[in-house]
Amino acid sequence: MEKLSKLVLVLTLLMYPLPLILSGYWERVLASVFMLTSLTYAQNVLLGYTGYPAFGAIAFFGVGGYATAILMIKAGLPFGVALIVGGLVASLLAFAIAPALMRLKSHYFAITTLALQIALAELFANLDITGGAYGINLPIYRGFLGTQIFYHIFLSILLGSFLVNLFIEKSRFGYALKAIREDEIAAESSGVNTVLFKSVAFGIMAFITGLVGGTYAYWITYIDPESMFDPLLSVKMFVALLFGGVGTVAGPFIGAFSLELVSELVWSKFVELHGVVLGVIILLVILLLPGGVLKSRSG
Amino acid sequence: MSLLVAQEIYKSFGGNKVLQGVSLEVSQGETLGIVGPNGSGKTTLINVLSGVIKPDSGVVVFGGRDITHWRPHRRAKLGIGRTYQITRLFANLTAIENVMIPLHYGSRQEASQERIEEILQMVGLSHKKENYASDLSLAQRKRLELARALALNPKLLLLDEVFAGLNPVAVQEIVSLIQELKNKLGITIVIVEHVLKALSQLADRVVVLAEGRLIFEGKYEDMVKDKEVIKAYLGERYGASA
Repeated sequence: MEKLSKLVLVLTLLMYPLPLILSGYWERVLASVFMLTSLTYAQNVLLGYTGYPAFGAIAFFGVGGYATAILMIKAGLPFGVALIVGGLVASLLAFAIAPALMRLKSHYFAITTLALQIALAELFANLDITGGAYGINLPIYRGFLGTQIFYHIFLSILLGSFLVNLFIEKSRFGYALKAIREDEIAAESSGVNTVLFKSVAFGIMAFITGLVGGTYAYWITYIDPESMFDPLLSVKMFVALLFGGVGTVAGPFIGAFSLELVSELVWSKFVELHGVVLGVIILLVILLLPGGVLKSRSG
Repeated sequence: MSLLVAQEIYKSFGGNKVLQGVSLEVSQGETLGIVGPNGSGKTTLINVLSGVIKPDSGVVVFGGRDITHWRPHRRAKLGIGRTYQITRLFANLTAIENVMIPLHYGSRQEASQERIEEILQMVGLSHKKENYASDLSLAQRKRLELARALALNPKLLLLDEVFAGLNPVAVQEIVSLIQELKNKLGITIVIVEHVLKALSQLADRVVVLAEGRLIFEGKYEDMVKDKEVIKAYLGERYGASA
């Protein structure tokens, strides 16, 4: 485990200078791989360490994306500031609803977060400030860094979310989350303020997810409720996490990289059939590796 | 002086009145046994005392403080430790980690390696410290739960059927262990138990619950002769003939 975490760190750092030699196509492919990896790491904080599957976590991707876009367009904030505030908006929303939402467990919790995602998509499709169903156009980035900037932002979010997972794996804070995952009542009896800790975990997940959403919005320059609250993204994130290994530090990296790269290859080779091929891969993973590539104790 | 006072505790689950005005006091350093037939409300009472369940009405006072509305984690920090009838360990964590969590979050002590080892040594689990809780035998799991409660540096221990499912040898070992905790550390203990032999060795005083009410309070020797108690436990016919 220890060695794998180091390997992930080294690989991540080695990818910083890569755009110097990569084609624009691979730069975009890798940027979307980083995006999925970050989302998977965010979910790992919640499902892997705290034991709560937020199937509708993409709700916070949407909130982060929209908040960033609105702050840039309506408030005229620079992207960097808008992105951080957008992430904070997503995490504050999560933190505020967590005490009520996290009274539910396992599939009840999963379904409720999905309902939140659907409700927010409907809400954003009908508000004026979000541009309704038409969505929002963002300015195109014309800075001197070119499109590489998105590659580097996504890579930095990936690095940050990896470090958050590493910290949780090793720290006292992480043990409070693991205690909640293992047995919430026993965690309380052991002095862990479970409502506080699981709300913080939910907030961390939403913050990372919101940052990814905000960066994605600026990257594709046009957002609408359909693209920002896309259930397929939730599915991919969960498959990546289950494939890589739930509750491990290296698992999300392995899962998201293999899934997104394979998906990209399959998509470019079998445009018509890629959904089927991906479905078959998912089934094979479930049949052959039920605990993921890195099986953790909790898996 | 009473360390723990429960006054007029009522609790219903739907139409099922589980506790109907239970009051009890536990003195500092005392070991109180709670006995009663299945479904008489013993575990619910422990849950109310530890904060896992909120009573419909009634008051719980610990060390002079009204803790009726306190959540379990705050009671844990105050020094109320407990075990569960069906063990609730952190199954995918090691014995060391199971003890480390309450030590850090509950007792606010430094969760040093020495302190953890000392606690595991106390319950006789030093040789299993690296094992995952889920890999332990039932008797070892019960010991680890005890260790986890001890890590809180408790003033009061609530033990919910620690002996259930254990063989007589294991029962005797854990009886000695609890006696040691009682004598060495002076911990006040409330113990729910069906294994009367064990209880007779541990309890200074016994209360009997039946259908959510206290029907007896006194010495163990008197309890086994009490007509009310025999009736509740064995039924009308035996109660009459006793």
